[in-house]
Amino acid sequence: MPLLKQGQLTDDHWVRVEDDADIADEVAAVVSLERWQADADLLKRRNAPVGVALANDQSPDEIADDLDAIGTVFLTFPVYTDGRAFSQARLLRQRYGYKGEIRATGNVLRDQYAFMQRCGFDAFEIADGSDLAGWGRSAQAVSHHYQTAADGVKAVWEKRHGQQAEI
Amino acid sequence: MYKYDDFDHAFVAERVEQFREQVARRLSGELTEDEFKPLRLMNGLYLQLHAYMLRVAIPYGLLSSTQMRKLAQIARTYDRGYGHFTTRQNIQYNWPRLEDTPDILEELASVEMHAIQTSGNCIRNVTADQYAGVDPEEIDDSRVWAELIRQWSSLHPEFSFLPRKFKIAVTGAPHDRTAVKFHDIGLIIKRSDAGEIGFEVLVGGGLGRTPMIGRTIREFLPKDYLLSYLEAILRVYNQLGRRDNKYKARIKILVHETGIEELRDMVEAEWTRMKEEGIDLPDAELARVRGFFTEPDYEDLPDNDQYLQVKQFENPTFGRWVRANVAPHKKPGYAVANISLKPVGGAPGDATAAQMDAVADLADRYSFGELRVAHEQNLVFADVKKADLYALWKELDDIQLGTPNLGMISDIISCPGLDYCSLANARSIPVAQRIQRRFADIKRQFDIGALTLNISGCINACGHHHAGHIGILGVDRKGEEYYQLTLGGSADENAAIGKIVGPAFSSAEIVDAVETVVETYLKVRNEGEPFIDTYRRLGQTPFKSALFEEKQHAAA
Amino acid sequence: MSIHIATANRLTDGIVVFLGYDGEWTRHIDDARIAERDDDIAELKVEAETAKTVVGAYLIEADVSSPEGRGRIISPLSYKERIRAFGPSVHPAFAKKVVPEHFDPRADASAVFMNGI
Repeated sequence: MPLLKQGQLTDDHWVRVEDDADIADEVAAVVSLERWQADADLLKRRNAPVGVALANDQSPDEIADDLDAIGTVFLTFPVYTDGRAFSQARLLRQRYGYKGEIRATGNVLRDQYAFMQRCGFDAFEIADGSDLAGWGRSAQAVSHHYQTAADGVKAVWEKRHGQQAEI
Repeated sequence: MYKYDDFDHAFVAERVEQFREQVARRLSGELTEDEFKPLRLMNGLYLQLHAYMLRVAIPYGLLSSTQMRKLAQIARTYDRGYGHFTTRQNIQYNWPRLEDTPDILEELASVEMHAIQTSGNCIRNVTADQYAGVDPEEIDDSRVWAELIRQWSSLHPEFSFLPRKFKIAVTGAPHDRTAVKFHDIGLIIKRSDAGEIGFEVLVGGGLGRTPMIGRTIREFLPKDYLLSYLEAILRVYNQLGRRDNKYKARIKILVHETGIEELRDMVEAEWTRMKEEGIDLPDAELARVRGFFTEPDYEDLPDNDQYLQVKQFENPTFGRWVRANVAPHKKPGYAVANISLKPVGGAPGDATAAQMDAVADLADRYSFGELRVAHEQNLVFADVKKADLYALWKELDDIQLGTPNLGMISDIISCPGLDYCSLANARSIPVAQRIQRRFADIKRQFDIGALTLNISGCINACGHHHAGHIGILGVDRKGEEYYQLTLGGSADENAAIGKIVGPAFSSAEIVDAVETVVETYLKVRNEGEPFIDTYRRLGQTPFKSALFEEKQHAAA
Repeated sequence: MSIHIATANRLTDGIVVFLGYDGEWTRHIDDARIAERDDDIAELKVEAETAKTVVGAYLIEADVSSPEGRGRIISPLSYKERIRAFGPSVHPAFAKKVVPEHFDPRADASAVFMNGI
């Protein structure tokens, strides 16, 4: 699937590996939470990056202690109306200070792009043939936000009173 | 009232442009209906039985005369010359064209209005007390908090795709006029022993298929932590609310299935972290918003009712209007005037464009240019000089807005029903009209006294029938319109869910059934005892008996 | 005689329309294309649901009759669909101008228009 990062389509270095499959050396592998929990030490000792894919009913608390070792977290929108991943992303980015990639997978719509970015997503698996210019416009559609979130952008009330956001 | 600053103006202007582009992409076919639907819902645009329906937000029911004039103009220019005020203090237009909606939103933005989040699985219009700022018993002005919540909840990135819609109400007086206990989150303003303002927080109230009264999740929340606490509740709901079944997706089901104790633990644990995460507002912003809700330029008037009493004596209809529709005001010489949108034979809550314009003018002349929309679908002039009440009433009466029926049986709260709504099973408005005609005699209404009657055309309960002293629910029985009767509901601080009395009544029978209930009440009440008290004293028995047993007896 | 017709709301303005002949959508229910046999009904459904100028398309059951001198009359079986076809019963001003005369408001309890009992 096309991968959107920083407004551009980019190559995807990550490989999603099934629970029962071997992981080849030097593959940047993304595993399920279950596999991470079973094989964390093994996975950390590899010579290649490792990422974790959370189902949207799995709590980021489960990997909070290991985030330094995790290169990407895949979160999912099974249908666009299922907004649980927004909370997962914000927890990772804002509460746990996660610095790696947070990727939106599944039913990822352009009109949710700005919400996703505000919650800490920085990588997006989008549909083939997506209109990139349109995605760009959607990202810019709202200049002022009424609430603080995971992106460190000043909320309107901070702009009004010259305050610093706490991230 | 709140006035937009540059940020607020930019916000709605950008929203209009964003929606304009989305509509264009829809009309060109670039967006499918499936993709467009959540976007149009978040701008309050429904597809309904006969046409689109646009629900415009009236934040906590407060309107300026300028805004009311704009609503009238929109009704005239883009719709069919009228609007419908709803049970959540909003206004609905029933005939807008999709291609016109960006222009409608632009017109609204020009008077600091919008239709953001009046639909969809997000936080909806925050409702408040229609007597806010003027009730002598008020603890604090609920509009201040409703405005703060409104801003915080607008396009919230984490909470725009919740399991289901989310409704918040704020009440600031001992007598609750907001149905606060029937909301997903209810906020009851309180003072601590130390005199600080805070909130009792309730969660999990609601109507619909599974009516429930909200449970207290926190006895006292200091005001400074309002937003972080709301976020904690919303985050727990976003993560754990059911998404497998639309009818079990509200937070009330989560409260019911998890239990309030465990839910409280989860929310409190989340909040302990959240209150350190820069969500809450600084004092400067609380003070800034509060600064918009100051008193108007009241005159110092004597509290002399003589003129008023003379006029009431001279004109019995005016006298009734004062008794029913006028409420006490904290300032001597002033009063709260309720404008009934329930004339006999009208559609409850509807107003024509001409009436809206007239009301705007009257607000300018009699109530400092502001008015409120109550969830009972009536309008309120909150600051009328007592000495002006007669003149005001005469002008209202001229435009069929002087009906003296507030809180009485013909002040019916009704959803649009099957005449307009594709979700409905039965019509509600004709039933309301027939009941009004049956009880048209105003003396009889006064004799009956305070009695709330709510009608919903389907189980979604937009007419709040569960919360009515008498509730009517339209159902479809073998292809015909039937009506279930409930008794004993209550929307105020003594919140109660009405109980079904027995089998449903046909369309032909329902008005007789209501009359039987009323006549029974009149027979068994103690002197001066309002309907709801009689019901609480005696229960369903006398009413069931009158409705079902005596009928059978007569038939035998 | 019970048949099926297709209805939807026009995309641009939301107005209720019916799929007529030649793939056009019409406001006049009596001009709707009728389908009786299963294969015709299936075809009608597909055509309605894939149409681009309308939204929310679905099939409804209706009676069709041709009283002498009156042309064909199509009358939906359910009162909900009759209200949808002819307009809100409480605002006759907004009813379709083509309300057929045979629609007697006093005829039965589930008639579309009630002039008040």
